[in-house]
Amino acid sequence: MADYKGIKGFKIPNVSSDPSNPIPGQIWYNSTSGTLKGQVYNATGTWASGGTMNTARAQTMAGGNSTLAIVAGGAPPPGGTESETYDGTSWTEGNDLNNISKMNTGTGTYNSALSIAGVGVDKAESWNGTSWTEISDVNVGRAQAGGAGASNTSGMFFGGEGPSPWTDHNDKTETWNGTSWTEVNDLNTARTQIAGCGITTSALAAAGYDGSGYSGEVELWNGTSWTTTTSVNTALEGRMAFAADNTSSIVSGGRSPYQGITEQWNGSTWTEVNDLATARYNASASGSSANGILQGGSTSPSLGGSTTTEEWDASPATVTITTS
Amino acid sequence: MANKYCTATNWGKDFFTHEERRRFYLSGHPGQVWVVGDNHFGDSWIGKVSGVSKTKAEAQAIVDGEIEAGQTAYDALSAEEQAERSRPVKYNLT
Repeated sequence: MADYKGIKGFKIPNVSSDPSNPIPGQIWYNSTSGTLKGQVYNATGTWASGGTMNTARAQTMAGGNSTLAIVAGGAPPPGGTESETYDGTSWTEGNDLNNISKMNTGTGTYNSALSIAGVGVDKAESWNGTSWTEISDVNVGRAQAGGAGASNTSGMFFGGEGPSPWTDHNDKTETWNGTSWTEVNDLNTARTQIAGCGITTSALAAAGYDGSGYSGEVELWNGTSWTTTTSVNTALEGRMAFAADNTSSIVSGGRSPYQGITEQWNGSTWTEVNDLATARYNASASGSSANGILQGGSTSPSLGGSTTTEEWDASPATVTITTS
Repeated sequence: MANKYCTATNWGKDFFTHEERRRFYLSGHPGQVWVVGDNHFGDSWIGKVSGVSKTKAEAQAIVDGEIEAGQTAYDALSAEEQAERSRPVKYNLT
């Protein structure tokens, strides 16, 4: 029978601790734990539990990833100003928003983010890593809109419902350049509870409610206009999305009533991957398709919101190898 | 694939890890009920989180009770508040 050396040309190293920077395909025996281990590609990704937020809520703004993140505002009624930052392990309360925001949109990172509009609100605020500062108002205040952007000087939001909540399913898109909000080309399909992600030159809008039913429609933004592309497999509203750009993204959760379905976009097709451990809708999410975070939202049977967090990881991972 | 059932309180970070999610089925439900894939990795996880084992019927009864309470709370909301959220719906554990 062929042995590992015969196949790979070298013996499995016997080490007392895991190598610091293993590469996918590398195998070793950890003599301390007495386990055979290897580094694998984690192409489809998995969800793990993250720290518990201090305030239960849904539909906050969100920025960052599973190692550093921020949330602020959100539901339940009447909305809130509370802001929390995440250090990869736990959430810590920070300086609050200046204005009560409910169902506000978020973009950016843990130290450079935007909170945009909300129910009956056209206010926007900028986060610098320490505090929130009110910036220019958006042109059309909306709640439950999608958002995309890399920082507090480059962001956009699209769709949603407003200025009259619960009735106007909006197709408007606005971009922020650090100084002012500008109305640009509309979405092809007006929707609310829309999942948005990416940056201002490469964004993605997915699913939502179009006024007559749940939509699975997906649109890609190229910096100038929206183009309709392949729909997600499951049409829902209240889904969450995160991505670095519109070539690779994750869309997860949604209703009705509570879903954990997670879909991965590779630039041309959607593939169902590992579900959230706890099904939910109207949570908030941020990050890249390799490293994301999703927190809060409505989980059965809560009516207000959740404190739980799940972290998405699709980067190479060390696993213990078992034989049977 | 058969599953096991337990109750356990989600403490947050590392309550379940990426590696554990790769090794066995896991889903969380109302009443801190967890449905766990029936293999030795799932058994180890139940031990790690000090899970209290339940039969499927016991776990389903906990979930149903939580959802019924949620439905009662939902029905007491105003029409505007109800429009913002879904009425909890009973479902069967796998």
